[in-house]
Amino acid sequence: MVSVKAFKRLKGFFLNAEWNSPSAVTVLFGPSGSGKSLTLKAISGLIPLESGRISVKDRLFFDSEKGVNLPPQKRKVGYLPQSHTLFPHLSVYRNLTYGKGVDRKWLEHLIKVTETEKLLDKYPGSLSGGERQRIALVRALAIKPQILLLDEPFSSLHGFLKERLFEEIKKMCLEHEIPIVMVTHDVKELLHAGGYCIIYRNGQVEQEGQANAVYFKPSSKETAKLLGHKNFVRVKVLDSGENWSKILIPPDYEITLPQRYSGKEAWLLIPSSALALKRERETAKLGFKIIKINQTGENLEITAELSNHKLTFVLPESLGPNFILEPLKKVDFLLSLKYFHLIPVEEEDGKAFES
Amino acid sequence: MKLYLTEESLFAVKLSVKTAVCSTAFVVLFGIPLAYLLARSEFKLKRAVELIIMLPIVFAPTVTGYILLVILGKHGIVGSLIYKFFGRTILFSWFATVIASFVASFPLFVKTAQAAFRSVDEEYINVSYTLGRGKLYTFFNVSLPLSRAGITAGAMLAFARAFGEFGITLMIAGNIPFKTTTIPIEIYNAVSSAQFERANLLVLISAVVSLSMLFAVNRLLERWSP
Repeated sequence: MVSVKAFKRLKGFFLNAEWNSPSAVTVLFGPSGSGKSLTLKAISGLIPLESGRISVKDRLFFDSEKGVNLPPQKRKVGYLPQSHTLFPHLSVYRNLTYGKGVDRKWLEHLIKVTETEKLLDKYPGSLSGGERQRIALVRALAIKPQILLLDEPFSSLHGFLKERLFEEIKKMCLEHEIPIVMVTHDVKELLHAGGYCIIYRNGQVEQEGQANAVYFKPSSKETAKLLGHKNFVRVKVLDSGENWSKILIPPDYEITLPQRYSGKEAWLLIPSSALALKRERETAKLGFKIIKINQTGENLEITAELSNHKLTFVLPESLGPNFILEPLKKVDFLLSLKYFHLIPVEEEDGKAFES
Repeated sequence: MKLYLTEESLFAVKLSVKTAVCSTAFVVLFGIPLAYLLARSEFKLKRAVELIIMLPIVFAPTVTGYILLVILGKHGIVGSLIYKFFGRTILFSWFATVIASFVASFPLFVKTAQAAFRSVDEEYINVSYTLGRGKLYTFFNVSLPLSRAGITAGAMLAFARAFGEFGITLMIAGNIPFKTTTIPIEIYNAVSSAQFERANLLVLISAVVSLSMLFAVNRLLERWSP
């Protein structure tokens, strides 16, 4: 649906990103300064690219080989930057009618659907953060855009409002077949948005796929960390085949995983949600030493040690084990193998990110 | 303190007002596009242009005046053209007082307006473009209104500077009674002939104008800076 190939050299930065999203919602995820916002600007035509190709649905925005480069005015993108979206010197109504060729009937419909009638005479300065984003959204949709570009649109909003506003946006865009490309560095936002996820790192695409799949199967330790994973165990790979690998978790747990892996060593990612309730075929029983137990409202956060690696698990308070957990106690945990994921050991081993 | 209003003083006040108004009008007219260009785009010789505009601030007024005298004189690059088309020189006319004020106050305006344009977040302009609006429309409907306070402040500074111009004016417009005697020059004339009563009123007028401009500029800039 959205296809991007963007190449641009800047002072000390190099954007060389290529991805194809088949989904109506695409999320660009990565640390700040990795080229996500730059990509949005390239899609909207606000920055010139050296070479590449950008198309949305069947419309070609940019193609350096064919010499196509539509100016931003002609691309019809709904662009919502992080801040400074509404013109402060214009009333809400004049903001909404600012775009070229705004159809009044369509705008009235949008205002009605988003319940923003009562804000029309106000000025942006007197609106709340949520109201401001909602008006900016209506303004962007008013020109019947080909695509909606959101640059961390909810960073100024609180959790509940954030999710509700996004649901609203998603519903409207799906209804009118407007693909969304959204930039975020918030894992919660990424997972909540769902859709197709592009992981950015140093101006390049590190990984892409459905958001949930990428979340559980990151291709590098850095990406895994970026996605909020904390539990990594260094393991030896004993043997592997077409779609399985046999690993050794020190000291002496031998486990077979349904994942192809080449290499002798690996990081084993165990998501914090991997605790299983009962023994099944796809579970492993591993011995831990409890270090700390935190009660964080609805959840129980257990920090435990497995072969010198500190791991944290989260489970709903109500599903807590029926035995008493206390520090230094040795317990066996059942872990769901389908969440286990092997990540290649890199030479620098993630030092670049930690520094 | 005695305040004397003589015919010379009256002429000086009228001429100074006329000069400052005309000069400020030209400053704003040429200064806005230039300031916008300097604030928003990169081009060859940008540094050079910025440097040349700033020269009157660091040069002694007599030096700036002398350079203008050479350029605008009958045999100068610009002056010879004017002479060819109009058959006379603009030096030592009331229009020369406008040129002097223009040159002196232009950098003040451009610098202030440039800062004002630069303070407008680029995303506003980006959003305007993506909403289908062209560069000119965006300039008049977004950039200009959002930097209005800074531009007005710059125009007021330019007016005050034009109103008080002395050195360059003396060099290129001279000190010709009832022709190029602006308030500052008339004050100089009064004092050099020891007629302090004549100077008092002009000094008062000059000070009131300058102070009220300064007051207005400060108020504007206070409101402008977030």
